[in-house]
Amino acid sequence: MKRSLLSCLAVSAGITLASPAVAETSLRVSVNSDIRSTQFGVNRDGTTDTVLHHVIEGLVAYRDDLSVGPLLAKSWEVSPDGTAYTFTLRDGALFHNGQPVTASDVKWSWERLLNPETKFVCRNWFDGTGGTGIKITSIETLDDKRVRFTLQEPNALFLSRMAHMVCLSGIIHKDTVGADGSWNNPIGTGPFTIKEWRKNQFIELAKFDRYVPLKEKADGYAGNREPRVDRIRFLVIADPAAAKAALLAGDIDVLTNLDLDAVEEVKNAKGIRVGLNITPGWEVMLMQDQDPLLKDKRIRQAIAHAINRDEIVLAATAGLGKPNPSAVAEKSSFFGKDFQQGLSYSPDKARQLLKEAGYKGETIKLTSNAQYPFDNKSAIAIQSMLQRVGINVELEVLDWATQFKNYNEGRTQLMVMGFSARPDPTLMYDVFMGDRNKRKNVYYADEKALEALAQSSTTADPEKRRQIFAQIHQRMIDDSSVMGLFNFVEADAFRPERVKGFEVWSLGKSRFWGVEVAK
Amino acid sequence: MIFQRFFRKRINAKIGALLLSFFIIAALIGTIATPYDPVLMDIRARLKPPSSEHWFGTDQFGRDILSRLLVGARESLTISFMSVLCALGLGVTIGAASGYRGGSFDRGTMAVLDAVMAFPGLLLALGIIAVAGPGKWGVVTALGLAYTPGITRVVRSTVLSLREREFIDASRALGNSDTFTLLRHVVPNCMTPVIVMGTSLFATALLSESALAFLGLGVPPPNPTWGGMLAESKQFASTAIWIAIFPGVAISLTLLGTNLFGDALRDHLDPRMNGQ
Amino acid sequence: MLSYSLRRLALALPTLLLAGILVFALMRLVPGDPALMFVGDVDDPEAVIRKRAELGLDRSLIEQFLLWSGSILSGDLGTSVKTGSPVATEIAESFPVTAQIVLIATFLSSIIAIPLGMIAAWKQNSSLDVGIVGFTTFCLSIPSFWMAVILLTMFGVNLGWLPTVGYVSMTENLLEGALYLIMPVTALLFTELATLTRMSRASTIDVLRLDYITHARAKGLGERTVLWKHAFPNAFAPTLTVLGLLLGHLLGGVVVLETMFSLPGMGRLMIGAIFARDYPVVQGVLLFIVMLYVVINLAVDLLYPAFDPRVKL
Repeated sequence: MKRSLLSCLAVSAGITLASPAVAETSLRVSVNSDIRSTQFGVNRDGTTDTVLHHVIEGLVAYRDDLSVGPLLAKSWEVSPDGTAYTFTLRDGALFHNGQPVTASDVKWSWERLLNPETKFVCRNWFDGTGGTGIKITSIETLDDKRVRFTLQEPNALFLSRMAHMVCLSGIIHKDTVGADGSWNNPIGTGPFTIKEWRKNQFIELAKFDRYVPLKEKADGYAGNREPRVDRIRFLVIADPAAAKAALLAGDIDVLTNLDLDAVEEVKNAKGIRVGLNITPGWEVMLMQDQDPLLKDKRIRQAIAHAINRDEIVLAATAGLGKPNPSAVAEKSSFFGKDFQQGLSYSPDKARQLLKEAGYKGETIKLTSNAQYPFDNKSAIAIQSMLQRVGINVELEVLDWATQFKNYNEGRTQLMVMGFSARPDPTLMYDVFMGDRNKRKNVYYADEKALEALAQSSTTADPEKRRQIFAQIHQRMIDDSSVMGLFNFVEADAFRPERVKGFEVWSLGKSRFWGVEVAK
Repeated sequence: MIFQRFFRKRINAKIGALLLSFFIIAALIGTIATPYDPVLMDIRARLKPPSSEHWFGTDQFGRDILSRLLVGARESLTISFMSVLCALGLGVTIGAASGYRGGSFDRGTMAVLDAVMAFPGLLLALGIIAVAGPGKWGVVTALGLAYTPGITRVVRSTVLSLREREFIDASRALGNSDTFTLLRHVVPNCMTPVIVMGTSLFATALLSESALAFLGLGVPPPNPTWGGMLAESKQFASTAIWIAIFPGVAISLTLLGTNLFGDALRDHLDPRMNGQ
Repeated sequence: MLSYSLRRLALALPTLLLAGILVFALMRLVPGDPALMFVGDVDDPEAVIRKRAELGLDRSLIEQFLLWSGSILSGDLGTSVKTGSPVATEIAESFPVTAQIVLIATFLSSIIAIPLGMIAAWKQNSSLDVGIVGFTTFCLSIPSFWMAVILLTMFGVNLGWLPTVGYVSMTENLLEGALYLIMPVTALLFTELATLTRMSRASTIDVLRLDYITHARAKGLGERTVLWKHAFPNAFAPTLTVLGLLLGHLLGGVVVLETMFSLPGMGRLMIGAIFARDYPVVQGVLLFIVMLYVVINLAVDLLYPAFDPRVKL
């Protein structure tokens, strides 16, 4: 079936080259890599998510304040015992093939996702096998527009996980999947459809004319997703300097993920605006406490004391990021003063702790990679800072695949890592905390902290959860196995006189519904 | 005497030698002392244009570019030199043995070399760097191995033509062992094309290092190499051009020096030209 | 000639086998895990294990190799881990892009470099000689990513003459296609000039010393006639070999240029696959490159006698 899609694209290619007779509006957006496939949640990466979120919709989605808002479901009710969620579908919602969206489509889509054969990457979040504490026991259609999900036990994070961008749990029409299980062009409910995909060149979306948006104002990924432009072409431009040139030359309208070192220059260019946004993506340095040397808490603390976060932000993000020692993002409703505390920058204290620990100049390896500028630049800065207090650090710059493998196996001493945005603090802590016997990429396994973390996903009361997070954070600072550095900053540049209504939001992934293009 | 004859009337030899010695001296200075620590970050002084304090300005970590250039001279020249040396060592040995022995040994070696030669340098580099560990020596091994087949081929074809010459037969007739004949008579006689190729590879190595750095496979930071400095500078083309210009000029002039000197050396070593 | 060609192609088989073993071993020696890269930032060790099983990575290396070579022999290069599409399709889509740039650039640079090298040889050791070598060396010494930045800024941004991004195949639309190729071809041209000029200079110098040139001169023929009619054909032969090698290397992918000019060529396919540890793609592309290499070198050898009558096949 894939082959037929390709040949279809090849035929339509001849047509798109000719200038269209009707004045269509189109938006040209740069992305730094191609999408991997149209199989959302199955074969995906960051760019795939960004593009497919325009085509496929889940029941719920994140708002700008990182809470969960309506999308394909206009509302939902939770039963008093917290185990049953009843969603009511958006009025007038249609699939791209013109069929109305019904509760049974939702049931079918979700059952497909939960079927192991589908290979949905986040299946274990929902079927009780992954330690998230969520197990969907049944999905029932109450009537045409209402569907009820029943969980084995209540969980504070069910909606959060459902709204997660990475695991796009989209609702699609049955015809997307052929009788033989093959994958066709996805028939979703989003404001755009896939028009043409030319590998490593571009993917073009076309407006879905019969899209009926929610009444609720657009907010983050949630709310009104009315399409206001006929075409969006996501052009693959891998090199940041080339992307910058394309923007300055007017060959693209929006540049996503502008190189931070170029922000100053592009900002000053005529007719270009830069939207900056601190996302919950989090840069950390991991210190392997199973290492014979780093086992000593004093050495880990010494390292933490030797690092000046402000300087790292300056070096790694051209001063545009925000230092953050905690897993709680600034945009998060849980954020507060408690979470800005970390071990203070104090070279003297670092030297003293090293002396106490009897550090004798043993070489410590600091691993990073050359692919991701945040990691690469942070590591260079950290090495320089640690040298200053007399720690003998050797920088090991690997390619990402090698580093990622080492990370997953816990094979490292010091490692700079970036964790992509997880809107809820529990989800972020989950990344590096857990049971060492079950997985090797656990970098913090303090028992009390783990207990607190388990509580945080079953506790519904926000204030109680905030206290739990504060407690975990305090323990984490003292332990210093995972040292928070800063939150990612994303810069999107665009031409405001041509592109109207484009705004950055807290999770950073660019959205082009509601965006207009001047003719 | 030899030098005089070499340089006389050869403008390319003069310019080439001048440029190369300049950078070798720079590399030596870089080994002894630099104005600033080339890897020490001073983030508050990032991207400062050339001034009396920093003659060549500072880079995005506030490191002194002059100091980095000096140390980079040492690193870059060493990498290029060592990788060429490595390729020469392997290439001459394999090529001479293969050409001299001939037969199935020769065919086997050539098949292996063809396979290596067709390998994209990049893949080879990634593989070797991953196995040997990232760093200067990984790059040296990768470049060295990538250049080996070319040299081997040249040496082999020269040896093939030498094999039938009288002095080789004479050596054999005198009862000398193959190894002795090979080392004493064959290898010295194929040095001319090898030296010429070596100079040209030296220039290639200098550039390949920057391409590897561009792809994130070069010598890891913070140690400076010219190629690495250039790769890092791409983002600052219009805001801090000095970051690019100085390493760029250094590479340019070294390459020019090598090529001019190499051409002169080639002309000089060419036996047919000596009577000229 | 036909039997010679067939024999040569048959001799390439061991090379192909060796290259296959080499790339297979190399990819497995390099740390990293295709399944892990596929699953990415979704943290689920089980999913990685499942993916490994699906890709057959849980089998022994020997088994994996036999399976792979078996499918190659039946004409199947496998499917990409990353995109799920057949490797053969990915090569068929990306190779023409690379080939267009490389062939055009190499053709143009031969036209410029060979005469330039001959002139340098003719005026050996003069300042014109040094000037020509100096100029081409200067062109070579600008790394291609920098050359790309300069071209993009100058012709794309400042002058606005050329598109900075996009690609149209010249078979679809000759003129538009050419427009997108100007910058990449120029950048590649610059790197090729120096190598070819120096080669042409060296082989012309060799030829100019030969007796028949002296004879030609003695006959009172003009220098220009000597150079073009007599020296050129013989000086061209060694340059042809270098040209073949160059072409072989470049067709394997001009990854830096393809990255900078956002072209969907084979170099980018390869580097993307290397970084993602997409074994089938890396292995398939490599075999294709080796084949290409063999064919090009054969073509060069077949052309050789046309220029150098001394060589017989």
